Amino acid sequence: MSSEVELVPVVVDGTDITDVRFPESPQEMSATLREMQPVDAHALIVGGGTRTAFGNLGGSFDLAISTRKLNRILQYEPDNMTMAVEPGCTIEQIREALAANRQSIALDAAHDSRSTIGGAYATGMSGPRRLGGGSLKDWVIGVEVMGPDGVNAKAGGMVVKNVTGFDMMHLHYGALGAFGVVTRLNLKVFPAPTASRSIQLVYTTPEHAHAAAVALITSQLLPASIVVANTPEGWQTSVRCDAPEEAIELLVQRMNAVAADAAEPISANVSDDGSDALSAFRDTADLAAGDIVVRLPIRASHQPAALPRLADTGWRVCADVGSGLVYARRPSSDALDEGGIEAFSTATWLALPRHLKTDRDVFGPTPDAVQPILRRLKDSFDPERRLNRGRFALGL
Amino acid sequence: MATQDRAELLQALAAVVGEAWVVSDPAGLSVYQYDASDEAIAGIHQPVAAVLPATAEEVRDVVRVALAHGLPVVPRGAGTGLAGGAIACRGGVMIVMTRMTRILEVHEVDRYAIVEPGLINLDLSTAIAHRGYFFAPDPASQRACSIGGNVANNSGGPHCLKYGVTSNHILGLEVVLPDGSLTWVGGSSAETPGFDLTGALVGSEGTLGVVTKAMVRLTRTPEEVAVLLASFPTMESASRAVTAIIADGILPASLEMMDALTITAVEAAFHCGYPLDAAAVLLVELDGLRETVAEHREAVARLCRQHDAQQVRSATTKAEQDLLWLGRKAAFGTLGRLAPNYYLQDTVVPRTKLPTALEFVGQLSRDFDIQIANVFHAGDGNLHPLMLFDRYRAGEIQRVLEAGDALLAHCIDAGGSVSGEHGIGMEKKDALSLVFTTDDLAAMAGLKRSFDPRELFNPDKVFPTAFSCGELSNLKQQALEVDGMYVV
Repeated sequence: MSSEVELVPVVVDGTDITDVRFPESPQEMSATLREMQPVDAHALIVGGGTRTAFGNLGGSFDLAISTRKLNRILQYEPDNMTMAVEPGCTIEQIREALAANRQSIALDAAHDSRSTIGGAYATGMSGPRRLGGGSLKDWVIGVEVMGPDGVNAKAGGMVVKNVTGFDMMHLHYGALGAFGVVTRLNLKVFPAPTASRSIQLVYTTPEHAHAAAVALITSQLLPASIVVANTPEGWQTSVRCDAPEEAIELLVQRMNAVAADAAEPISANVSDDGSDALSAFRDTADLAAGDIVVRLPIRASHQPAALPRLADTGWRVCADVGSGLVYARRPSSDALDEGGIEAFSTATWLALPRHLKTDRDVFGPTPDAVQPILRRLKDSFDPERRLNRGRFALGL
Repeated sequence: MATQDRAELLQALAAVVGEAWVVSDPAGLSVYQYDASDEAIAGIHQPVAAVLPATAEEVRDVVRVALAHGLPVVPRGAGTGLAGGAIACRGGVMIVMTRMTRILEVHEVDRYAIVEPGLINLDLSTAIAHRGYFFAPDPASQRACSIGGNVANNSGGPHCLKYGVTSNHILGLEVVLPDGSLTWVGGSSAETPGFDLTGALVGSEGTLGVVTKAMVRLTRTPEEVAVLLASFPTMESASRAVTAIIADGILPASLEMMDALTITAVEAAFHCGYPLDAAAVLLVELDGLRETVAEHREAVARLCRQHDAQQVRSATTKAEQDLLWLGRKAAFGTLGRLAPNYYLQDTVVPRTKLPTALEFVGQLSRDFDIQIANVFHAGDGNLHPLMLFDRYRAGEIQRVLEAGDALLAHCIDAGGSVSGEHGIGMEKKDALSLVFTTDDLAAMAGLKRSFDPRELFNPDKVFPTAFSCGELSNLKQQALEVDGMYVV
């Protein structure tokens, strides 16, 4: 194991947790969880440690349980396009295994070599390629989750179409481990594109950059992802194209033409590395850098008005145009300037310094009618609040 | 229910929706004893009243009336469900969504629409076709089924091979929760904070909430569509062609298979041009960029020929594509030419297990002396064997049900599951114990009870509760004793 795997101590909201356990099997995970009960211990569940900034200010934690050594690929059936993994598998590990069979999942993260699939699932964060390839929550076809009593419960299965029983896969997606520790994820996987390109177009105004993005999104050219970001060079529209090798150059030409019809860029660059189109997202949505990061639900048609206002108030922004989400990042500070932008009222604060989390629900507002359901879920799955205490929505 | 209580209930319901939209007479209610499930389940249970609200607020107030009377609430869309999900098995108030059919908003740039739950699936795609968008989930019943029903059952359809099932296309829902509150969950963005409440509601068959509006994802109409028909000498060769196509890195929009029995029935009805000498045909739709479709069309044809295809034909016109699809989408109905009744099983296996699963279906046909037609979503491994029978021949239905159970057990042993897309409802809830342990089911019960502590929303559905397998079997037996008005 590399030193990154060790991840000791775990730091959450400025506090060190020095007692870190690394169970290497579901049985060890179960034993670890069961040991907590007699001593009334409370645990933080952590994956690769790249997104521990996300979550409400919790109570104190006696220990951290890392999933990083629970990192086996349990089952991979390329002809069925399914893969079962343990939560500590990194996104890079999964990507490399799939690439051997020309398959992939369109999951983007700031730190692929450290970010775990379990962490991506628990924090509910996919990336801009959800436009063309869907979101992680769409690909999880089965799940096993262990409660604080050390008992595993499964749902779904290893088939790509399945309506058997309640959809626990969605219940745990984005729940930050509030209802249990994921011990297995069954994934639907996809054929990998044989060729990818990144088109990066620079504009002087966000309106023009966004107009190009909208022209592409409403075209029939099927961009894999489109983001608009403010960069030192100007407002940049980054497009990822996936296509068969024989078609890729023609597709790039057609996309460039559609974008230029909408707004002529001041510069255009094409690279044969599809991941270049995602660099603005990876930079902006990096939760491990100590900056403030927020995710704003702003649908595409409202983004042109919001982007310049965000930029004017000092935010580095990356609009995931296809998903109606805007990621914004700025250096940590004593206070926040929300610039009067309405979307902040429903924002998800992905990374905040400790003092700015006080009296704030980083998940944003939960509808009144939903609050008792969330509380009953926590009461049902983790009645003694042993797992990630206080870090979920409503301080659950 | 006591006469006075019933009178008070009906009066309160009428005060919400108007007297004309409360059905309470036995003859009127007999319609609502049925959905499209087999009469082994349907036709037995009657709600106290069926109510047809026109707005979300009326749905909320109807729910509140029912809750105040301690009665179950059973939502119903178009009544096309195949597993008895819309049967009022504990009586109560049925909320019928057929008046709530409006498309309220369409946002092309943001790629979503807001619709009412009673809207017919195909009507949405038809209404937005001129804008260049469609709603991707397309169950075979899409001319009749409702969007609300699709949400309740997490419906699939031929095109979910590429586009995913209903849950992949629902961004948000307005729901009446089991405490009588009306709220939105989810929203127009792809991710919402906290757990995915929208995703948990989709497929819950009305047991967690009653949908009053759905925010649905719109999909851009593809630039190019190709439809190929390939005929094969055996089901096995067709199955192996399916695996080869997927293994080659091609993800068709749909990949459907029909067997000789189905071909015979379909050709007699519609003259779609399916070859009558084939043991199986594959209907393959490819869509996307014109360059990609052209390349994949050649590759699919090559792969089919490599797996002994007798003929591979590509439809050259839209009319020809539509005709090929007509045969597939109307196949179930044409089987009425072969037998007075059929029992449709919906089960799923890993795609590579299709050859052995189909071989097992053939064995069942011989062992139980039942004609079985196969028309199904081969690309997903989602089997739909239709067991043909005559309800009035002694012992036939029993053989059919036993064969269905044997197939289910085989598919589960092969790594499959209980239902691919038709839902659990009443029909299959006891089969959940074949795939889930008590611990698994207890976790699901935790979800259910967190939403619905009184267990009044579509009770006795989805997972085993009061019914044991024996009781379900008795239920099926009762249906056989009912007089001759029931025909599938």
